Amino acid sequence: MKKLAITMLVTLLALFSAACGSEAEFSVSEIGEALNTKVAFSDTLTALSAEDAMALYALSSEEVADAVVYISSGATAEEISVWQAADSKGVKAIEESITQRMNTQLDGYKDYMPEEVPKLENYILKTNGKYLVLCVTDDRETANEVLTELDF
Amino acid sequence: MMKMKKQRSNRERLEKLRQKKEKTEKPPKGAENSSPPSNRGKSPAPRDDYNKYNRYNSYQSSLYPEETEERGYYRDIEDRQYNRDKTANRDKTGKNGENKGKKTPQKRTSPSIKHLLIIMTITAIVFFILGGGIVYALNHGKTTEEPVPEPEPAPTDVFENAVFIGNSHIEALRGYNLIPNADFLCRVGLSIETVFTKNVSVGDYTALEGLKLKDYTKVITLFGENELGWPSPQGFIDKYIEFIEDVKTQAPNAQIYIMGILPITEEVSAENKDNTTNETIRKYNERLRIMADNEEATFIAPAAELFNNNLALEKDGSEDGIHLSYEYNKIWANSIRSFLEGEEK
Repeated sequence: MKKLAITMLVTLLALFSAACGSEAEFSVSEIGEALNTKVAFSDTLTALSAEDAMALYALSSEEVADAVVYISSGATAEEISVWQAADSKGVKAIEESITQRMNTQLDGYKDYMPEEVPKLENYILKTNGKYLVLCVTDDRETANEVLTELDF
Repeated sequence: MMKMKKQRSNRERLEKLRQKKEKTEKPPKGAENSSPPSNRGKSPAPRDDYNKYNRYNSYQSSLYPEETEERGYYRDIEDRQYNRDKTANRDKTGKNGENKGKKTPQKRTSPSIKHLLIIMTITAIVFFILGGGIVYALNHGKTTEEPVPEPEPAPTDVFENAVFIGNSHIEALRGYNLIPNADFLCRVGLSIETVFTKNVSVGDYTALEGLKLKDYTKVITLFGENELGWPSPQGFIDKYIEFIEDVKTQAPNAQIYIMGILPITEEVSAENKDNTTNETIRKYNERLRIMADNEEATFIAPAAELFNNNLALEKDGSEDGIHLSYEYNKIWANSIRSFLEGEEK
């Protein structure tokens, strides 16, 4: 009886530690598609490949393992970008790059399209492990719901 | 005891007979090496003599039947000695005498070991060659050396060393990565006035400062959409000329291209917001064409594919009636490429 109890305890501990140690795995394209289809956007957003996404955000494959970016034609400041960082350094580099792009966009749209400024000032940025998600939209409620469902 | 004495006297008699026989019969000349031995430690006798000797022994046996066992003993020894010497002579002279005079090895190797050694040597050589081949293949990626054809030089892209400077339209070209070989010094909302002071989206520098980063051969500019509402079109042209002069200074080896303002949809044109109509755009483009001629720049008119029959942008070509959709951006990018390629021919 005592042996059985010890065995169960050890098994539970092992399962618990395994659950804590493992990192969540996502598909960046699935997250991007979920946001693009469920969240309301004024403009038609176009999906960029990981390579084009890195070029737009001035990032490299040293920092990025996978990415997808949805951009506006220029009619709005709306944007979705989903990133899988290569490592913890990559997470930091991507965060910095997102912040820089948001500042540049805000500076540009401030004079050009002031109605876009609230979207840029209240952009959504969520992180889970090596994954980062940016969403620039007026429909922040839906965007947050989608991301909560995806464990962000 | 008597028997022993009798045996000894018989042996002595036998020995005397042999010695007498050897004295009377000399071996034929040159037969020393091929004859069986007459006795231990003595020169070998010719084969005929040996036969005689055997016949003699048989005779002796018949004379002294009680001595057969001892005599048989000596005969065995003599036979073995004869065979040993015969083999030694055959090895010295060879089967047909071909080894005569050659150095004879002291030790003989049995044929099976010899074969084994040969097989092992051949196997080692084969493995060495194969092993060398594998190592070479691993190092060079090919098992055999093949002549590598000279790679054909890639055709030079017209956008090599080209840079685009402009507003949100240029920012869209960059964002969609439709002209990957070109550089972009652009920004959303950039005008011919703010281009002197505002940093571009790709760095902490203005477009004019960015021209110093590389020896550009083509500088392609697009301004005007954000300036349609300016009080004076000439003010826009004057500022543009000022900018072109600075570009000439910053990029002295570059050909300057002035792109015409892109058309807008009929719906947006009808709204006439901030003087943004296709009619105003046409007037501005005419001024830009004349300015380009005067400044030794090249004017690139908007591609015909972007216009509908009413000389406006197709409705499906833009979400907001001004900014081109991704598909229309591709048409536009291709038209610029075609223009530059046509110019180089």
